[in-house]
Amino acid sequence: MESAPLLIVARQPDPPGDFDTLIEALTRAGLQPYQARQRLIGSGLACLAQAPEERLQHLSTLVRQGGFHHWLITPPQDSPSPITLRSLEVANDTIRLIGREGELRLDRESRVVAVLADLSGAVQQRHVTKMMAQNAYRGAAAANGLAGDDLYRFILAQRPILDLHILAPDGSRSGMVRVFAGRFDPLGLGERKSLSSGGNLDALLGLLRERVAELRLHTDFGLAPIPGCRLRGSDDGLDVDKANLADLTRFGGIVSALAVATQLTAERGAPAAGAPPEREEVSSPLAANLPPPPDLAAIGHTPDVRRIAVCIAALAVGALFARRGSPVGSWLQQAIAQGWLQGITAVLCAAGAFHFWRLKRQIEELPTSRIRSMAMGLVEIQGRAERCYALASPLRHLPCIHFRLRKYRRDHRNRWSLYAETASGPVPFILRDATGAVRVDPRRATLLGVTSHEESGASRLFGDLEGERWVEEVILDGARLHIVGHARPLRDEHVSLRQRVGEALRQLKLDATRLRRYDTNGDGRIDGSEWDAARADIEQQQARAALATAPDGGYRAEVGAPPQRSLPFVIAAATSEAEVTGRLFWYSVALTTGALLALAWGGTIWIHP
Amino acid sequence: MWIVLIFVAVAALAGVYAIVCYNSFVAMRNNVDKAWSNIDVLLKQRFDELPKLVKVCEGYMQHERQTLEAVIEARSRISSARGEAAQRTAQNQLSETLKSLFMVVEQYPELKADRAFANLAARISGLEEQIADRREFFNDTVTLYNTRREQFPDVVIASLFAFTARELWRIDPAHRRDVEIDFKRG
Repeated sequence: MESAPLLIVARQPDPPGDFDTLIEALTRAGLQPYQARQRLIGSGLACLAQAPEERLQHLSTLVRQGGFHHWLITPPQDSPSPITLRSLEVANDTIRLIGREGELRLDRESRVVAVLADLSGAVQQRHVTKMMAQNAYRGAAAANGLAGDDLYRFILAQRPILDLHILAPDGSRSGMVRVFAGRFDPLGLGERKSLSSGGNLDALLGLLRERVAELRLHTDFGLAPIPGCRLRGSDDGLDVDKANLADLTRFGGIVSALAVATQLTAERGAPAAGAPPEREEVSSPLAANLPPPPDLAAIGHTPDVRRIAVCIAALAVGALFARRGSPVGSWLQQAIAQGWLQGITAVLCAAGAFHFWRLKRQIEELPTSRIRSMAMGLVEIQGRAERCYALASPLRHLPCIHFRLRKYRRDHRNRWSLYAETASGPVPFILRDATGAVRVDPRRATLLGVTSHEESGASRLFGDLEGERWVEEVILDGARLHIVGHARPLRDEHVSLRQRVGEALRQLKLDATRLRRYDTNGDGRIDGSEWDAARADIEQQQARAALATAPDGGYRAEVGAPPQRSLPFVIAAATSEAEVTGRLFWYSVALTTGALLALAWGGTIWIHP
Repeated sequence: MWIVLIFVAVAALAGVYAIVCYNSFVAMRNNVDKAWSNIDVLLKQRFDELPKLVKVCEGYMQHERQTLEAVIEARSRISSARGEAAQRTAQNQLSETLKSLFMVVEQYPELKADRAFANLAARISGLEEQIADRREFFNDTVTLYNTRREQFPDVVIASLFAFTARELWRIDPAHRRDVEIDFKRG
């Protein structure tokens, strides 16, 4: 299969309008739709399929009709042995590239395909991180990651390797030079040489551009999904560097084959293959127009069952392991011996159990309202969360309406210890169901069902977290939420027709000029019938004025914390009320069990001191 | 001593449960009343909008006096209806006459194009949708209340303190009949 032809496409960040039609056609032709999307959307090159030529011809037709530039090539099976560059000499129109294994000459008629790559994995990390941030802040259409000049500069700042593939007149590769940054003598660069290894590679490329007939530069090794050309990590085992260099050579062979293959041009206008992406256009109006989050208020109180349990457990454990002679330890041991601590624990657990049971009943006894018709006061609604502000989680750059990031590191006793915590705070968001939308102010809300992610150790994706553990809780943008809270109007209710007419009549009485128009008999006074006519006219005018404008489409209400603390305010990431009440039920059961056990323990001591 | 303690604990728990249960019933009964009143709020708004609607239509629909008068008459019946059942019947009849009016409006393109009419029609349609939603909400609230008062052990508290069942908002049985669709013009 490795020798089977490849269909290489030039990806586009913003695919043509009937892209879905192309995906459907490719799916019918046997490709996975998700994989096809991945291979067509983005920047740089990608291998859409590797198969016998007849099948690829059919796919080629579909892709051409779909508006994508592409090539059909056979991957080269052999490759010239690379010369590792040690120095170079520039004389008249010739550049001598001198290596340990031999030397190569380039002149004005040479054609060179260059591949600039970083094998440390930093480019991939940065690419993914940037894509996530672009998606979170500017929408999916802007999520292109590292590309163009940014990618080039970033590679040069890492540990870059430059492969130069020299093409013979017949299109085959006549030679190959491998340049390791910092491992060749830059004297031959003359005035272009620099003190940085990346700068010297940049200078070398500049020199080649000036002195050879054609130089094609590729920077997407490790980012372009092409079979046999992947960047391995240190945990892949064996000799990773050797394997990566072999794949880099293979990648160079493929892109060299592209240089001589006939480009199969798209039927419709598509950006030139290999052209740098245009200035990123954001297609998601919501992401583009979102303001930054407001000044973060103090973290709202969110009763956490685990925190309560941990506090109680810490008290008990502290008492058990308190050293003899310490005042606190002896007080705790005395309290346990007399049963007081158990009694206090039982009371606290019972109070907690009662709180969650009562909350469960309140939620069960309140039917779910539709947003367009919800009444003011205590209300239960469900729908999908939407951001009002450009909020994204700090660890994974996920668009969200709430996040909390806790950072732990090992202390001197090798236990995880919390050393930093950040949270989004009570940032307002929108809840939308099938009938309408409402603003939600999450201050003082109890949050349930929050998604939690954890990263630790040497994470390839998020950088080195050696010795640390980061736990991020998020409620994602688009998550299904169930909210029980207090609805209040955001703006004054509309003024009634009677009030408008009354006000207009008052104004009329003060305006003698307008009033004179209704003096039909010209006696200088407005009698009863004339006043009735004026009133009818004003009513018509006000009715017309009220109906001339369509109803205001803004949010009419906001859901937030109730004025009485005894009423619930719950924001749960759940698909149904049953899920929320089920969770509260088990909290209540756990605390009730704790209360009964503590009571039994304490009761035993009291009865048999 | 153990038995006494257990008995006291069980009695205390039962007492707490009874108190919570009683308070729940009170809250649910008030929720039912509130849900009914919240429908009233929208019905009142619809009641107030209707004169505007009729005024706008009058100018265009010179030959549809019968339809307009039916709306006016249905509206006036609401004012004279006494009791929940009579109110519901009157409101249902008004909804029916409004549907007839909007069907007739289809024959008057100038009226349909009138901006004031379009805004008013949208407003009344919106109110009708909200009224339908609140009817469902009222029925949900009543169902929760009725179900809770019939379940054990809550039925004991409900019987002791005379929490009576509430009636759902039901539709006219005539509206359950299949609708005949006839495309032939009369």
